[in-house]
Amino acid sequence: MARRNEDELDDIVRRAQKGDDQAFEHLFERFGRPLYGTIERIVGDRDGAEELLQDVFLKIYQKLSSFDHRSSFYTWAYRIAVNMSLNHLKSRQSRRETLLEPGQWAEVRSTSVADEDAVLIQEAARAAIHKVPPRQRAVLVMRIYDGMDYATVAKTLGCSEGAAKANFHHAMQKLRKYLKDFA
Amino acid sequence: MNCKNCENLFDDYVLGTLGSEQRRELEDHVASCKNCGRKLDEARALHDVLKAAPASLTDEEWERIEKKTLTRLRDEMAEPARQGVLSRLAEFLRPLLKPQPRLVFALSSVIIVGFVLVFSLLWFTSSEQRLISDNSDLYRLWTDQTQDQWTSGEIASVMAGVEKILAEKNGESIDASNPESVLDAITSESNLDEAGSEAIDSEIREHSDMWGINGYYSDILDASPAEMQSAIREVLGNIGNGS
Repeated sequence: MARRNEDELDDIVRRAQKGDDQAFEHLFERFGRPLYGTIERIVGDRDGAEELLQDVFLKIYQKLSSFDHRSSFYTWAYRIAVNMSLNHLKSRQSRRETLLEPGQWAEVRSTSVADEDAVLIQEAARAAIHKVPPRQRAVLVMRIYDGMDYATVAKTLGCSEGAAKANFHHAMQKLRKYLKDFA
Repeated sequence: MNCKNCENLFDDYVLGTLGSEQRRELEDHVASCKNCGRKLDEARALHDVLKAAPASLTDEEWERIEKKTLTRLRDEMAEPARQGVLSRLAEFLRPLLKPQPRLVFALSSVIIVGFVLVFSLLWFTSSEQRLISDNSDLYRLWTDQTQDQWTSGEIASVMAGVEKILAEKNGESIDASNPESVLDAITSESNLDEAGSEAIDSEIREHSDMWGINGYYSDILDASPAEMQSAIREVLGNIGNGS
C-alpha cells in the first residue's frame, strides 16, 4: 500500500515536472499544510508564514525540474521550506522587525482555545521558542514537531550531525530556562 | 552511565530516538538515581509544554490559506514570462548541466580521438619521423650522404683502386669526381655491355652494408665509393677471369 502511494506520488511529481499544473496543485494540496506548520513554527507569525508558504511553493514550482527523485519529494520540499524560513528570519532581523509579544499570541488564539491555562501555556511555549536563535529553533522544530532524526536535520540544513545535536542541545537548555515556571 | 551522560540523553529519550542499549542503560541509571529521575520528569514536562505550542490551524483557517496560495500560484503559473531572464536561462540550461553518461562518453571519445590525431600529426611532421614515413626524403638523405663521400677525400683512395683496375684493362683515365662518370667509364671504356653494368648494379645491391643501414636502395649511383669499388672489383675480377 505504501509502495503504491509512493509510486502514485512519483507519477504526480513527474507530471508536474512536465508542466502539468494540475499535478502541481495536487502536490500543494497534499504537502502545503504540514509545510505551513513547519514554516509558522520557525518564523513565529502567521501572516509571515502565509506569505512565505506562497513563496516556498513558487520556488518549488520554479525548481521542480531540478528535483532528481533521489530523495522523497517531501524531504526535498521540506528542505526548501526550512531554508527559506531561516532566510526570512535573517532578513526580518536585518529589518529589525519584532516578533509577536506573548500577549498578542493570546489574542490570536483566544477565539479557538477556550481554556485559559492552556492558552497561557501555549503563549509561554511560543514566546520561549521564539526567543531561541533561528538556527537552533529550526533544529528544535524539526526534532520536536516534525520527528526528524539528526541525520535528516543535518542534511536539511547542510551541516554535520554533531552540529545538529549541539544546536538541539543548546535550544533545549534555553527552553528549560525560559519555561522553568511551566515545566 | 553517569549522571552527566544521562542528562544529555533525556530529550532524545523523551522523543523516543535513543538506541535500545542506551535506552536500557538510561532507565537502569534513573531507577537508581533520584536526582536524574527528577530531571527526567522535568524533561517530560518541558516536552509536554512544547507540544502544546504547535501551529493548530482549524480546517477553516487552512482552507482560507490554501485558497489564497492557490490563487497566487495559478497567477504565477499562467505567466511564466514574468520569470527573470537569468532564471529562464538557468531552467533551459539545467538539463544540459545534469550528469549525462552518454554525453560524457561522446565528449570523452571526441577529445581522445582529437588528441590522437593532433599527436600523430605532430609526430609525423617531425623530421626523423617524416623520413621514416616518406621514402623520397629517405632517398634524398641517403644520396646526399653518398654524394658527400664521393666528393670528399675518400674518393682518392677509392678511385686509385678503380683507375688501377681500368688502366690495367684499357690504359684510360676517368673523371673520378662523381659516380656517374665512373660508371660510364666502366661501361664504355671497359666495353661493358648493359649486362655488365647491371651486374655491377646487382653486386652493389647485394652489398650487406648497403642493405644493413636501412634496407632502402634504388640506384647504383647512390652507392658509396667503398661499395662501388667493391662492386667494380668483383665484376671486373669476374670479367678479368673471363666469366
